[in-house]
Parts: sequence; C-alpha cells; structure tokens
Amino acid sequence: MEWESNSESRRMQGAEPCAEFSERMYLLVSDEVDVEARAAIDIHARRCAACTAFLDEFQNLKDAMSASRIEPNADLLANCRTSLSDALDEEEARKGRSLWARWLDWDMPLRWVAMHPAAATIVLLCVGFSIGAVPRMWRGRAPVSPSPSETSSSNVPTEAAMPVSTAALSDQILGGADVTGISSVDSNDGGSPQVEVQLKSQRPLLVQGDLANDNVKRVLMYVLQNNQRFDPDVRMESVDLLRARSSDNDVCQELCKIARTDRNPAVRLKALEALSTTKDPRESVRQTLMDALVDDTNPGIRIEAINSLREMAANGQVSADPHIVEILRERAQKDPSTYIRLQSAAMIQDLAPQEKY
Amino acid sequence: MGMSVALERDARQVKVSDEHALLRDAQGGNRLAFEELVRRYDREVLRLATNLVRRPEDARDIYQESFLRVYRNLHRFRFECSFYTWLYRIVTNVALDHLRRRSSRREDQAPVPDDHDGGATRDFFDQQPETRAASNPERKLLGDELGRHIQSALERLSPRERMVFEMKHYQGLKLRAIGDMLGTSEETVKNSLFRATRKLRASLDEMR
Repeated sequence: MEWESNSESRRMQGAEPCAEFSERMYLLVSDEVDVEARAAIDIHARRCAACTAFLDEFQNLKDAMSASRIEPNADLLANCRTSLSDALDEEEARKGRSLWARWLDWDMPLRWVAMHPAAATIVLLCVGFSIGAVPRMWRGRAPVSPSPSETSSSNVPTEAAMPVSTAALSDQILGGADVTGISSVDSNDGGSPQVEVQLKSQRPLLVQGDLANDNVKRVLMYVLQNNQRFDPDVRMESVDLLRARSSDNDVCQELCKIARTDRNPAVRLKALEALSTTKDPRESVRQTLMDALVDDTNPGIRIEAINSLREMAANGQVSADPHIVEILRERAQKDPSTYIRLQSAAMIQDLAPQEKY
Repeated sequence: MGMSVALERDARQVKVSDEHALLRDAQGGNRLAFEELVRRYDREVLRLATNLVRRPEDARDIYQESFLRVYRNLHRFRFECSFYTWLYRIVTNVALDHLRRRSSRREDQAPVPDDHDGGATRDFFDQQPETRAASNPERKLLGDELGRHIQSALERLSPRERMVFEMKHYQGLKLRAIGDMLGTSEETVKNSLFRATRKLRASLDEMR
C-alpha cells in the first residue's frame, strides 16, 4: 500500500502538528478552511516538518480508508427498493383498514394488558364504574317518543319522557342539538337492533327505536347532511347504522356524498362499505365507487372501491362499458398500489377478456 | 463564464421548485411522487449505511427503516430546511440506533463471511479488483491485514464518531450541516471528528 512505502511517513508516524497550527491542520484536512487560511497553512507547512508529516500521514490514512470503501451493488439497491415498495404497500393497507378491523385484532388487547398491567387495572376499573353509573344517568333523561308503541315498550320512566311526535323532531330542534352518543343493541328476538341517539340541547333528549324508525333515520341523516358539525366517531356510527337502509334513495344519495366528500378517510371507507352492500346498486353507486377508485388519495379506500367493483362485476352488476374499461386500464397502469394495479387488470379481463392493458 | 453560473443557478432553482412540488404531492398521498423522492436520494443513503455497518443486510434494514419513517412523518416536513437535511436527520438517527445496538452485542461486531450469496456479505478486501490479489499474493496478504486493521480501527470509534467521520470525509458534508443533521453544535461535531481522526491514526499506527 502507498502508506507502507512512504518512508517519510514511517519515520514521522504518529506525528502531531505543531501546537500553534494543530486545530487549523485538523480543519485543513477536513476541508473546513477558506482559501486564505489554506494559503497561510501551506506556507507554514513547507517550513514545519511536524506539520508536513501530519499532512502526509493524514493523506495516507484517507487513502487506506478509501481503499476499504464498499460500493453497494445494483442488486442490493434493487433489493432495497423492492422491499421498501412492499413495506409501503403494507403500510398503506394498514392505514386503510377500518378502525373496527384494527380493534378486532384478536391478540391486541391481550398484548396491551400484558405490557401495561397497571394501566390495564385502571382501565378495567373505569369500565366497571361506567357500566354501573352510565345507565343510571341515562334513566334520568327524557326520550323523544316516535310512536306510542315504542314509548310504552321503552324502559325510560314515564315521568322523565318528553312526548315529542315525529313532526315535532324538526330540523329546528336538531339544529340546536348536539349528538353526544349513538349506541345500538341487538334485539333479543334477532330482529333489527335497537338504536339510541343521545341529543344534547336545552334539555337532554333520547331518540330510541329500531332502524326502520323514521325518527332514528332522521337524526342519522341529519348527522350526515351536516357532517362538518359532528365528530368522526358520530359520523362513522351514523353511516354504519344507515347501511341497513342503503336501499332507500335518500340514504343512498347521502352515503354517496359522504363517500366523496367526508374529510375523514375512515368515514369515507365506511360509506363505501355501506354502499357496496346495496342489494340492487344504482348507477350513482357504481359511479361513486369509480370516482373513489380514481380520485381518492387514500389507498385503503381505493382498495375497498376496486374490491366492491369486482364483486359487483362478478354479480353481473357492472357491464363492460368502454368508459369503465378505460378507467380500469388507467388504474392498471398508473395506480401506485400493486394490489390495485393487479385487481384492475383482473377486472378488465373479467369484463372484457379481449381487451389489452 | 457568467452565463454558465447563471444557468447553473437557474437549474438549481428549477430542481428545488421541482422537489417542492414533488414533496407537496407526496404529502398529499401521491405514492409515485414519494417513490420519485426515494429514487433521488436512496443511492447515497444506501452508500452511507453500507459503509457504516459494512453488512448488506444491516444496510438494507437501515435503508428500509429510514424511508418508512420518512413516509410516516412526511406530513410533518414544513420546508424549514432542505429535504436532504431532513432526510439525513432521520437516516443518521436510524443508523446511530443501529450502531449503538450492535456495539452492545459484541458477537455482531465482526463481519460474517458467507460464500453463498454472490459475495454480497464478504469482507471488503474480497471485493477489491482481482489484479491486486492475483498479481501479487504477498500484496494480497498485506491488503487483508490492512483491511482487518481498518475494520478493527473503525470498531473502536463510538457510533457518533464513526458517523461524523463518514459524513465529513466521504459524504463531503460541512461540519455545520452535520451538526444540523445530528441535532448538535458545530463545535461538538468538530470535536467528534478530531477525536475520530486521532483514534484512527493511533489504531493504524499499531500495525506498522
């Protein structure tokens, strides 16, 4: 090696620059001095054996280090890019999963409890307290009774109930109210679940009924129509409950609007899921799914859209319209998600086997 | 001369505005824009990682972890510094974590020879041009010896010293930029660099 053959360096090995120039020498070899300082150091180094030896030795050190450099080869770079792309796909799919799906990871609560025993104890105590205390608080509130039969079947004490008819639950009341909670309980006879919507206005109100109940529908629709006023969890719960009535024209139109415009991706995803369960989807549903596939920036939503479209195509609910095929071809070529590209290509083959993409 | 400087400046400005547009697209969820950003910088990131940890599989881990962190936190990038600086801040953090973990596991410190992967994990002197070894076995022996010494000398540096030396002398960064990336002062970086240089010289002197 060069430094092995450099006899001068060998003679001066381990040399430090002279004290006066020490720091400047280190800065010089680190390329951190300006032109003028460099010239001054050069003049000094020509006269100073210690500094000359230091400079030579540092150069030899750099040469030796340079010889040991590893240049990553093209295979490694390609490998890294592929792994990263796969990891990003997973990341996007994870982001796109609904909140419920994440909560339903079977081992998540167990892992959490195992990792945080003290916090788990506190949470369990709070849950126990809530279970004991909240029903007592609710019993003190007045329900809006949509029909005499429902009022009579409810557990709400009659003295606390406010007899409000369907007509009385007007937009004016809703406009001044805030939805503080929506809950649903499966009925014992396997029928439609019972829904309770808590409204906070001048006086707390409670709207109760099953999903066929017009007052329940009215409140849930009001939440979607004024979605900017309500929290995402309230909007998501409303969308989820209205899924059962997605065949109603007005509900369907509202879900389409939410799927396009809600600012929260989890709510948009829920709306798409609700639309995809429509038994006889209208053209507006197909168009909403196509728009989500093309325009939505969230890959999880685009994945839901392409999955729903493929399912509809399998049921003969999507035809080989040239416009649809054109959109699918564009997605098959340009969508950043590998899954969507593959599914789009597969759907073209399902719809129009003769098409090339 | 003046014209070429002006052209260079214009080209730099176009590159910066183009990069800002890409960043905004990527922040808006455009995956293609993000991948374009990755391709602009990933060779340098991989080179840095490879020479710091010297094992391809570790370098790949650093590469992936760094860009995933960039992806997850891109919405926090506020254009207050260059994207390059911000990216390197993340890469150096990931690499330093990796080096610290490794230095706490002694058994991981030596390179692992593996003849079945096309040379990807061989010691670096095995990857030098064939002429050096074939033409002179004695020189090959000296080369192997020096390679081991350099490896051992590098292992004696702290992770931060190793990082600073690499970024200064092989990535060509200024001390102030390194300080920005490592979240420390220029003076601290300078001290780390000088310490690293002294240690390396002392280690390599031992073999002569």
